[in-house]
Amino acid sequence: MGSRVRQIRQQLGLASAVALCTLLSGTVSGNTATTGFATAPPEPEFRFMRLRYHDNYMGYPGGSWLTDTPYAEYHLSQGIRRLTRIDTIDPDKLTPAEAVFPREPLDPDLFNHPFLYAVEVGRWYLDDEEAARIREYLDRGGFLVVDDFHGDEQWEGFIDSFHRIFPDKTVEEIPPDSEVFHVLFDLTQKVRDKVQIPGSAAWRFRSTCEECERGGAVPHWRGVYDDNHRLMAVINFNMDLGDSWELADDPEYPQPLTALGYRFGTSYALYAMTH
Amino acid sequence: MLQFLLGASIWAFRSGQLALGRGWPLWLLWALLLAGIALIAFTLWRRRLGWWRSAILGALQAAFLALVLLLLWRPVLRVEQSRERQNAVAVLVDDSGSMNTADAPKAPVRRAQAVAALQDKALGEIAAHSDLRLFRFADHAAPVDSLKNLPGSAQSTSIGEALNTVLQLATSVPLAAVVLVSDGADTANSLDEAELSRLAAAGIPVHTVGVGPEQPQNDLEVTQFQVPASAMAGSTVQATVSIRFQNQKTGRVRLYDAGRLIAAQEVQFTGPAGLTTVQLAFPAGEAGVRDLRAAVDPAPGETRLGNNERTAVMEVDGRRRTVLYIEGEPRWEYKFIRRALEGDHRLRVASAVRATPNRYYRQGLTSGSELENGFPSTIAELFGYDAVIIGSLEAAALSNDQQQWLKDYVDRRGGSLLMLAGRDGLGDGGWGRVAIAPLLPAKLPGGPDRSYGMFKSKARLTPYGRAAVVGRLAADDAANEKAWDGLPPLTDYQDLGPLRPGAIVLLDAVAPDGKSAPLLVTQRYGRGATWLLATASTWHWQMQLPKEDQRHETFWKQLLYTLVAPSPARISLQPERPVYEDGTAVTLEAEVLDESFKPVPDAQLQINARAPDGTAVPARIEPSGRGDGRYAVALDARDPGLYEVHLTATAGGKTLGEAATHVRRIDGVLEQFGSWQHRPMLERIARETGGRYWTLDDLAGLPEAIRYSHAGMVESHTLDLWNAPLGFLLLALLKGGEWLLRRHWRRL
Repeated sequence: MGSRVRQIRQQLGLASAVALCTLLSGTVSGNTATTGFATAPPEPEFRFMRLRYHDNYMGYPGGSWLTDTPYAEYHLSQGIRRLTRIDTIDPDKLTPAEAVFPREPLDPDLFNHPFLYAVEVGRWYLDDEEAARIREYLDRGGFLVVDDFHGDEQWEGFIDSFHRIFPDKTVEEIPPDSEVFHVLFDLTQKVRDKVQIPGSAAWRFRSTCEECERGGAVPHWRGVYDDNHRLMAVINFNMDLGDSWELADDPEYPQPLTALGYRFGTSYALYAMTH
Repeated sequence: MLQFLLGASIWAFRSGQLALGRGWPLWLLWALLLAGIALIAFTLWRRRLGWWRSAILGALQAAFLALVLLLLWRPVLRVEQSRERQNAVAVLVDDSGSMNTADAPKAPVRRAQAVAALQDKALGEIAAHSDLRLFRFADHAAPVDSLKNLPGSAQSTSIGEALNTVLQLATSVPLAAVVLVSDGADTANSLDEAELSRLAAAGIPVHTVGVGPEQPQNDLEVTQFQVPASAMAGSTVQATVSIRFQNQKTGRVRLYDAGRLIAAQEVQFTGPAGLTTVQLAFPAGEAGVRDLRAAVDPAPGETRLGNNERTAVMEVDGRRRTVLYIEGEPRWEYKFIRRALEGDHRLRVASAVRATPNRYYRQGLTSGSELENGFPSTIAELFGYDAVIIGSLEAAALSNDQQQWLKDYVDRRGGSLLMLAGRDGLGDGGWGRVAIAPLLPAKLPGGPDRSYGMFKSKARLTPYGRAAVVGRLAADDAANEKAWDGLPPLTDYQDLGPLRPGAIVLLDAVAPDGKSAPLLVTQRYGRGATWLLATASTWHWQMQLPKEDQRHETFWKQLLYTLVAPSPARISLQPERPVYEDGTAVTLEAEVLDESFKPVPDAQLQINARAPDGTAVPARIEPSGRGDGRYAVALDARDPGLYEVHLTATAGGKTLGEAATHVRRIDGVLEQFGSWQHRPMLERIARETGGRYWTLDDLAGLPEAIRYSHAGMVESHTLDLWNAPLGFLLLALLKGGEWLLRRHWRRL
């Protein structure tokens, strides 16, 4: 009986000690959360949102919008994380497929992510409703980067839908000394020298492949401005930034051009987040 | 009748002392009384009348015995009376503008009523026994020969000043009493506690006679009209108007700027009478001086209209304000805050966002070197900004010196600091453990658990938020509530920790289950203020709403204007009050500080004051003597109108800066307000000085009361009370009552 009583006393003592420690730790830690809101871990601030669109007559089976996925955004996110303080997805914690973040023009979630990337836009088609939606998105403060289309025919394919977005705005050449080319890296000379970031096929054929580039070997950085002269959309014509990101780990693709592609990509992201 | 029964005046009893005049020892009276009571008790006990009959009879007989003994001991009343015709009595009649009021249609004005009552009921009797001295008073007292034809045009009432003047009489003539006839509205504020103490110490009773109704009758009065002394051009300003009402249900308040209507609002009055306060928002307009007037529409049948409006002056400053915004990481909130404020030429947002671990991307700069290292490198550079915003930036990114500058920025410089939520912001950025922490309106959590995370909530105005400019997304109250209710949800929240006692919550975050937590909080500290915003997702109010919707822009503009508006300038000049009613002595305070907002020790000040007609007005400048950079400026503003005062400060031959302000002088206003009878004040004067409060109806007793004054030349009298009819009446009643009871009980 005596030992049983001693046992109970010991257990009570231990329980009291644990309770006291718990109470004290709550007090000493200073974490006096008073709201009672059970918040979830923060989500990445920046998502590379890819536009999922319908193809025009030049489209690929399965969708041109998928070009360069998933490694374009997977690698670019790594670059953004390494080169800047932009909070984006951590590719080390995701599979490449999980890095792909597609949204259609009419998706209500579009407005939750003010950065939008569209690839192979020479092959895209936006109807009136979709174009109006993209226009509203950009007017509210969204930012569009289009990439990877070459030659006159693809330009016509692009502008056909783009004019539905902005029938009253003019597409202009972005001057080399524009702020978007200074926001992080100094890209002025590259733009002045018209250094092309080619697609992988063109690179393999050393960029002289007329067929590969559809005659579009001279890069143009074009854009559309809002009434306060802020860029709303950057049009990367006759170049292929997506390939430079996708092939970042491909020894066949020249590292300097991948580095340049990263610089343009991170510059566009930072510009979008500051203007 | 009472005086006949008592054998002496009631005032004699009030001022005198009862005593026993026979001179026999008191113990003998008690001994005889006790012996008598014992005998009565024994006798009644022997008679076996029953205990309650015995008690009644015993009480009657004991009372009779006590009264007889008392009368034998000769009760007297020792009084002091004014010597006949050897004392003066001063009668002061209020001759200010408020006494011109007729409180009912076709009724005589208050002054006429008072004079008539005095002449009918008191003055003759007083003059028969004393040297009557008549005075009129308003802002000062002056002797008069007669109370007829008093001018009644004075613009303020200074009761304290008037009493002081009259009490000086006591140094040359014996003054028995002062009679003050007034409605008690001391518009010159001359009766403070010190003044009342001095009056009481003089030892001369002041009898006060109240004139006029004790409550305003069917009257609306604007008791207060407050606007900020200065505002930013283009901002929205909040005016506070207090209205005293009596038996009205609704009213309408209008705000005018130089005669132009700029705001109006319906007012509901709750209860039969009281005070209600209304707030109206109005645009500050462009730079310059605003000549404002708040007016309440007259109630039906209201006759007294002079108190239905008040004026105010507000300086609108066209100076472009600069905001420093430091962000620790590129994020959407930063982008959309900048976009919301772009295009507002009254604000410059100089921002630096830490784009890479060791490089800031800067925007909104005036020079290439501005914010080169992110946060300002010198205290002078920091103090040059009118407000500071810190985003998701950890405290460790600033040096110890910079953190101390930030504290001084709020405390000494008087700037506003806004801190935003973020991964590295607020508690998660360690801001709860650094120099600025005690200045913040909440004790930021600092434990291992993160305080920032994703959470959906809606922003909701608190009562403070509803009354503040920050909470105004629409002009109309109902539209404003709807505007806030229709905002898209926020997506993140950061716990602020327990709020400090001085914290004011303007917005709450409301969870889907109805629970709420503080979202936008502020508190004043030192000369400045600190603000916390527990979210970084207001940008959804822009992206989730049509491009034409301006609520996101409006919120940030209102918030930034609120932050920068109170930011004091290094050189400032402020009047004690912007409107001087019926007073010519204008006082201003100048402050001269250097770039670190420290006093300039050898500053020279030049004041240039202009009267409404453009003539120069001399000004006297006096340093405070405390080395705090403050100076008192005094000028004599004789004429009504708008005065302009300009200050130039120099030191060592260099101009430090300039400041300007305006003051309005108005005449004939003070007496329009608070013009009902202030009975508590009159009663207090009487009580403190040994006098009494009277109404016009009971003035007949005043002369008698004055005769028994303790002041002036007095003589002592001993009045016999043993022969007062009341004594004999009581004896007869006691014995008669006993006889009747015995008859009734058949026990004679």
